[in-house]
Amino acid sequence: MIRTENLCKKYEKVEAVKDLSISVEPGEIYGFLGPNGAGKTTTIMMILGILKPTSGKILVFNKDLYSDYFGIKRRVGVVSEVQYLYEDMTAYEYLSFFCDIYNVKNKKEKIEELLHKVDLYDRKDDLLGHYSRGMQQKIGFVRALLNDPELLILDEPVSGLDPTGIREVRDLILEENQRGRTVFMSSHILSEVERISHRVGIMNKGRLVAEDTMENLRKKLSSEVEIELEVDNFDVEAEKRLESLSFVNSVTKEDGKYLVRVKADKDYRGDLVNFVSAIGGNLKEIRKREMSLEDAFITITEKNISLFSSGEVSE
Amino acid sequence: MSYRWTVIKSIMKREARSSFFSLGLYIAATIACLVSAFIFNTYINTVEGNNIMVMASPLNTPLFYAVIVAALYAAISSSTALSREKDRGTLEVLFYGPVDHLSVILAKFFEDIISFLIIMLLVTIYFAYAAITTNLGFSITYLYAIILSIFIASCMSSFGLWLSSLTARIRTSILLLIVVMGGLLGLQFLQNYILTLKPENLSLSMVYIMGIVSNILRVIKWVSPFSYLTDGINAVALGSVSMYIENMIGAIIYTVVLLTATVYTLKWKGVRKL
Amino acid sequence: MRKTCCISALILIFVILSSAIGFSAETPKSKEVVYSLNVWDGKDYAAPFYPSAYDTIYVMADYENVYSVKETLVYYWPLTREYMADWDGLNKDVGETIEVLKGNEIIGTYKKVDYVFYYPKGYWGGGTQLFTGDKAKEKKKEYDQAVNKYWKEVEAYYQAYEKYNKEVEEFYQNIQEGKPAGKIPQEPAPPTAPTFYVTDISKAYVFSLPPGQYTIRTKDKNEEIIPGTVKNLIAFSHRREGIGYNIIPESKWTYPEVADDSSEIVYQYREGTLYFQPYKEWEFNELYYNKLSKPQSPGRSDRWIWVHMDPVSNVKLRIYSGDSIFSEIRNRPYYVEQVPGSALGYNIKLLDRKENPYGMADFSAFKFSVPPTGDYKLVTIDSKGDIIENSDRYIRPITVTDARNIFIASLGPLIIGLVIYIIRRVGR
Repeated sequence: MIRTENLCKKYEKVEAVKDLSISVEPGEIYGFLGPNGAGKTTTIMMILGILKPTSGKILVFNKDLYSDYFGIKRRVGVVSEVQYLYEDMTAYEYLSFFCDIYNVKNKKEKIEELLHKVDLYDRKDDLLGHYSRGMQQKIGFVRALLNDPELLILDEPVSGLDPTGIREVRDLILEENQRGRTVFMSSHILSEVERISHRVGIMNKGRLVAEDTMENLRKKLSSEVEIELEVDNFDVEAEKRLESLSFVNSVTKEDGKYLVRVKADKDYRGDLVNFVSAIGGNLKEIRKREMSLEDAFITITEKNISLFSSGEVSE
Repeated sequence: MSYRWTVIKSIMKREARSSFFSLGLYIAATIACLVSAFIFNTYINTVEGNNIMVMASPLNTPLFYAVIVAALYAAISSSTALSREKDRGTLEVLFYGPVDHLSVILAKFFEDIISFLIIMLLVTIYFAYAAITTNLGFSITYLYAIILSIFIASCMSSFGLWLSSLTARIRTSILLLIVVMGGLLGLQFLQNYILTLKPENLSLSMVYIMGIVSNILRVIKWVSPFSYLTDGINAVALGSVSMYIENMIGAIIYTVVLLTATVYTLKWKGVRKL
Repeated sequence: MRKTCCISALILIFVILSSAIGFSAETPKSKEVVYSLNVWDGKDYAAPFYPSAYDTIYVMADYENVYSVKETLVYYWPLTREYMADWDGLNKDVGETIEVLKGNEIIGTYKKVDYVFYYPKGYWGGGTQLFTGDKAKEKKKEYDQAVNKYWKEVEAYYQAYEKYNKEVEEFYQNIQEGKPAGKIPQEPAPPTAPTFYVTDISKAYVFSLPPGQYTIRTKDKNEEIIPGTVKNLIAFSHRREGIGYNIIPESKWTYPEVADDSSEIVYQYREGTLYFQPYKEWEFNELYYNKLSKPQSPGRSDRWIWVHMDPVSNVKLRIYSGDSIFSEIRNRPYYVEQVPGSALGYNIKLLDRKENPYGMADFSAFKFSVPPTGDYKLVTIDSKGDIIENSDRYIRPITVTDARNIFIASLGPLIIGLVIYIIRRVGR
């Protein structure tokens, strides 16, 4: 759906995007992650032709945007972080205007259907200037869906929304994805991306530092695994012996439990159980602690940039 | 081109709607009518005082002022057309969809002309009232002047759009318009003053300076939309067909050049809200 | 910043001072070869001259014009902003032939000929005619003879008057002495001076040219072009002929209006009387015509002006109301009678020769009392009964309404706008 090759965008002193190569496959939800200023929006603007790349190549629907500008744009729906609306228009007039631009047939039915879907049908004749932030966001979604786009590009779609709004938008994205639309979603709210994305690309300082499925990403990012142990009859000597095991990196005690960091090359839970029973300990609980994407994100962007930028993780 | 035309029509329709529902257009038309009312009143006073007044096309003088007001409205409206949308972020949103630079600019331009025509329609209705109640009557030159005024408005509008493409804030646009328009008007007055000076009256150094200024002004004449306004009105007043056609062609070339410049400036400056 | 301001101020002061010096400096006289012309302007002969500052000469096509090539002292007169010639200081004829070229081809070579100007109604009477060659000599001879005859008549008159004085003296003496006095002596009538005038015979190049753009140059006896004599020459003609009108409103007879072009409408206040004085008129290019008589005059090449010629005779005015003839008017003499008493005013009255055989007309014109309503069209009809081209003018009575209505109506667009705006806002 979207493919970029060595995409670069340089401003006078800043390199906003460097050698970005990503690929968004049909039917997937692609989470485009990164902290503020990472270059996510710049990338989206380049994909939409609003910003001109300094170098590199962008293909949308396997075509250069300018080879069929109007044709490609008609197959894309875009929702931005802030909905810049014509505040002197009513919701219906606004949507009708975009229906005209997209040359949508049966526009009245289409608008009414979508407004019903986002529970704004009753407010369709209100001026957009009187809409709340969440309502404006919904109108942005409706506008993006008017033309039944094959590709939805969402730039920080839940930013600034209350929890209810976030849930509604999330449901909407999932629903549209289930209806066959490919979603390319940028966000800095990791939990949201984590929940709905099939694949994730992580940007930092203009570079793509990781791109993979959630599962693989977690695996690749973890050089060690944290295992919680709740054991009785475990003295200081036993703790030292545990620490001296070849696959154990460190042991800390938190709230009466031991947090054992072991190497991630295999599952060492069996070895730990054997060890505890060997020293006469009474094992009450053993649990592998999962690494959230947030942890991964922080790990990638803050701690291990050098590691990933060398290409060890990014594929 | 056909799809672009669909886009142009859609944006133009929205803009026209917005103008129709805002007060600016009606205020401009009212100012135009009010200025004309003073001239009609002068006519009445003249006829009352002298018992006779001989005039070829009495509606042309008030029309001249009405066109100035309407064309200035076109310039002001167009000078904020792009910067306003840029300032509010709505221009960026348009570009999310199948909208390109040319279609936005053409849509804004055509909408400006439509607004101008609405003003001129209101002015003409008022003129019809004044002409009928006073028995001043219409002449065919009024029609010629109205037709030519569209080309004059196109110059003003394209000039305003170009200025608008240079800025990203409404205030900056208006300020730029005032400065540029004021400068151009000032230069035009200077040109008229220079024309009255005889080189024989001046010292050599002054003649040299005047020569340079005059050459600059000759170039600026092609840049200033006001020169098309005054030339157009002169063409109608003189009844010069060649000057009339020359003015029309000049205005079309001017408009095309300015609109092209606007497209490139907008591409260069970008459409994103800063 | 301050430095820039200071430099700018100094430059400004320099510019102002230099221009002031330029204005105050006296322009010196310079010796130049100039063309001094007598050109027909449609009514009379004007006498422009073309120093080196002007490179184009304007003349009326198909009329004989007089060209003199002189060496003189030229100076600029700042008060009137024009070039002047000090003919008293230097006035020397130069050149032997004038050549006129169309492109590079010489289309005429002219030698100096004798010429006179003939003024049939005296020097100030207009209708000037140009005669050249033998006819000039004949006219001059005719004038000289008339003048000689007049002086002889004057001499005879003085002798007769002397005789008359003596007879009057004798007549009164006889009465005083009681002698029969006889008939009262008749005073001799003074002779009438010639009403026409003919100038002295002069020599110059006299020729006419068809309309077009030419180059003119003067050669000396060695067939060499005299420096400064090569100039452009534009011979132009009128574009249209028509009838112009002086219009005298009855209420302000000393403030006549002029309606030169058919597009001009005569607006009349309520019912009133207008007096029309039709003139023959020709339409010329404004720039050319202005330059013709004064080369320093400004003008626009894209503007056309009507120039009044002589009043037309043997015509009548016809007034149309719609397509039907409303009335036909003839030219009549009128005089202005002041109203005596405290109420200042006047009446314009028809001068009836039967009632007032010695009365003097203040003007003659075609009188039309404009009805209070309806539009009218005025045309001039020639002696054959045909409408003269470009003689039509529309006359419209203007309805003076309350000016407040005009102002109130001008607020119409704002009211429409407010209604739309309020409906839009209230509706949401």
